[in-house]
Amino acid sequence: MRLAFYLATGCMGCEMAFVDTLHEVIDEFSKIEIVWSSPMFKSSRYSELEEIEDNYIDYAIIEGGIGNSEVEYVVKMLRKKSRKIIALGTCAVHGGIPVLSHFHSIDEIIDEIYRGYRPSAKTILGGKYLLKLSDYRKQVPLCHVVKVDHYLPGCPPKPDAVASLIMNLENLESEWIISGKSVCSFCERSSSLLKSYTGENVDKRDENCFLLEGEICMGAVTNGDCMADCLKANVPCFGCYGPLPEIDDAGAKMIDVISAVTSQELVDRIFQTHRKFGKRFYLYSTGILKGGD
Amino acid sequence: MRTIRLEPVSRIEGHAKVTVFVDRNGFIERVFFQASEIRGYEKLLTGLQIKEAPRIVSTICGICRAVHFISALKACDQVYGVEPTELSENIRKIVLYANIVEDHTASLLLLALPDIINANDVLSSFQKIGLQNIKSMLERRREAVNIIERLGGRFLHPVAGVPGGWARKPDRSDMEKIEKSAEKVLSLGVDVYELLASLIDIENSEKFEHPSDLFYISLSDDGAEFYDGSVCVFDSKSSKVVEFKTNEVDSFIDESFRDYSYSKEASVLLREKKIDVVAGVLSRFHAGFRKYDMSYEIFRDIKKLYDPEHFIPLLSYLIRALEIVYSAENIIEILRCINLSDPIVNEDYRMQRSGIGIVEAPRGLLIHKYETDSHGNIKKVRIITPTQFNINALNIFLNSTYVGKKAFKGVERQIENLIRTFDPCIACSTHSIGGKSDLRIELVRK
Repeated sequence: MRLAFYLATGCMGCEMAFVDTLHEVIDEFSKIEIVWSSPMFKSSRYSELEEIEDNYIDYAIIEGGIGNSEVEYVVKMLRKKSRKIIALGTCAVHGGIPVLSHFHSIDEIIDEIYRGYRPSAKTILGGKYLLKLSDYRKQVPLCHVVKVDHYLPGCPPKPDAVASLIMNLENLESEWIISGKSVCSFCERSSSLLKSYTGENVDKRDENCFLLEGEICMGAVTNGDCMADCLKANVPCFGCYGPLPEIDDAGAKMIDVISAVTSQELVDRIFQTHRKFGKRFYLYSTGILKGGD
Repeated sequence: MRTIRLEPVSRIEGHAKVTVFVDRNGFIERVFFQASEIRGYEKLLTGLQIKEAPRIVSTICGICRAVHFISALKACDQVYGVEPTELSENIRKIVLYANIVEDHTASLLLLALPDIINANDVLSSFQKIGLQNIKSMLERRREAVNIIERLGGRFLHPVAGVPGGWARKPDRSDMEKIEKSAEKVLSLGVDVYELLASLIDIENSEKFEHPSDLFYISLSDDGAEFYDGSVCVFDSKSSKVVEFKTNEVDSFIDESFRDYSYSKEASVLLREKKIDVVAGVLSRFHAGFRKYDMSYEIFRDIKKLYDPEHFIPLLSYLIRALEIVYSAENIIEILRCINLSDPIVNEDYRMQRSGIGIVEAPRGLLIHKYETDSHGNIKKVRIITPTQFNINALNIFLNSTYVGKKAFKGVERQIENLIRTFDPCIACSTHSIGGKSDLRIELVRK
């Protein structure tokens, strides 16, 4: 089996999740041939990727979304050279936090950061030193640019999930490597949410659903393979595993959920506190942009 | 003109490139280190609630998996005008030190090791050291990850912080498990240090003349400090050049832009003069490690190898291993005095509209600064990461070392290895816009 690893526009957390469990699979993993990898495991060059025969790589595991022209080029090249592309983690699957860039124009973002200054794609310094940079793009998930064969979301996915993916690549069947259940299905607080939905009275208690406390919790629309970890730590779900695959627009769905389970008073409180509630609803996924080309 | 491209250079965190310009006679004219990507977090955060910032900024970097969280959380306390409880600060410190342990171990074993033993890639370097040996170290590294998960709610990108405290109080059984993990982590530090000390021969390793105008920046409180303390700048003889409080950062730290890089380069302003500084292990080494016995002993050993006239890149690896021991000793000390019956959160909130949080990340001084409206909605964000200092320092160091020298065979590899001793985190330094970084080296011959 021939593998490739690539960090596209991401934070390297998904590959670190694999490192966190590497000791358990190191004997088997060290027998796998890594044909090309950057920046982890090997120091492969882009030119080496270009020289590889088409479809020579069995599985290319890509972490991160597409955030600039250089990454887009490498991902397209990996598609050509690989039989299967695996999108590892929420950035690769849904775009991740950098998709918040879609709430702004590129000029707005660059002006905020460089205060009127602007790094350029090509600079000639001192009349003789030519330096180049890749073009910044608004982040999109891999599927907007190439065909993806399998998806494992999570920011990052749990170490065991990443290890089991990498060690069982040849047995992958379903496109989505998830349970298909929402965060609420694993959350002990969801009983109060159900009561509220069916019109029962809910006592005010610490372990109530966050929505009933006037806080945005994305659990109802979010893939729950995190096993509702955040809720166990007493904080609401931010949606970091991305929306369940059958939900095209997580934000619209959240408005449904909130209007179905909360009182007018709570709805007012939620939208008064969260001036930019749109950003909270689309924190990790491009939402209606899904589908891409 | 002939161009030799080596792209990308790997085993650093993110995407960057180096371009070396060589004249007609083969002498190096100029070296540029560039960060080649952006993500825009400063803009992306606007309009969101400040209490949401720690979880969101954590995703700037998955290697520095908890430090952006803690730094932003400290800023968040200030926006809420609240002093965090002692118990919650102790929990934050344990999470921070556990982050230092797992990060340094990963950096040494997965990014640096092939350079140290001259192997082609990570897996063949594992084979050379012995799989069982590596396995045992990675197993104990996982204990540090377990500490983060148990307290932080998640193993990477923690979630359990709230303004003025922590979201969940750990119980006795949590603390017992953490105590066991901490012991394993301490033995990991000792083993990693011994392994590196046996592999690295500092006396015969590459040395470079120390640039006279290069200084070191670190948090310090009579010695290296990661969570508290004031910001100190040291010279290469470990003498303190300037010290300032965390709330004085604006008057002392400057960010400048380059046409050719997406990273804003940071430096220190002293009496209107710009001072170039290195952040990270070397700077904390100048602050010193005198608090605990085991790390102090190692600190003294490394000090004997240190020479203020020279810049010795491989020394960074030994100091990184020393810090694993120091962090483990810190965790054990905190566990000794932690009191679970104390309150976990102080909710006496008085909104202040601005806040600043500074910590020492694995790679050095990390600054998060926020301005909000009176409801805590974020209006302005400024994040300065250690690699922003180091990219500037690297540019100065690479130019002072290589300009005017003959571009000998293998110079690219030497530069690449040298850059990796700084352990640059380009994902962090380019948080400003899109996201990642591998290092590319390009040799341009004229």
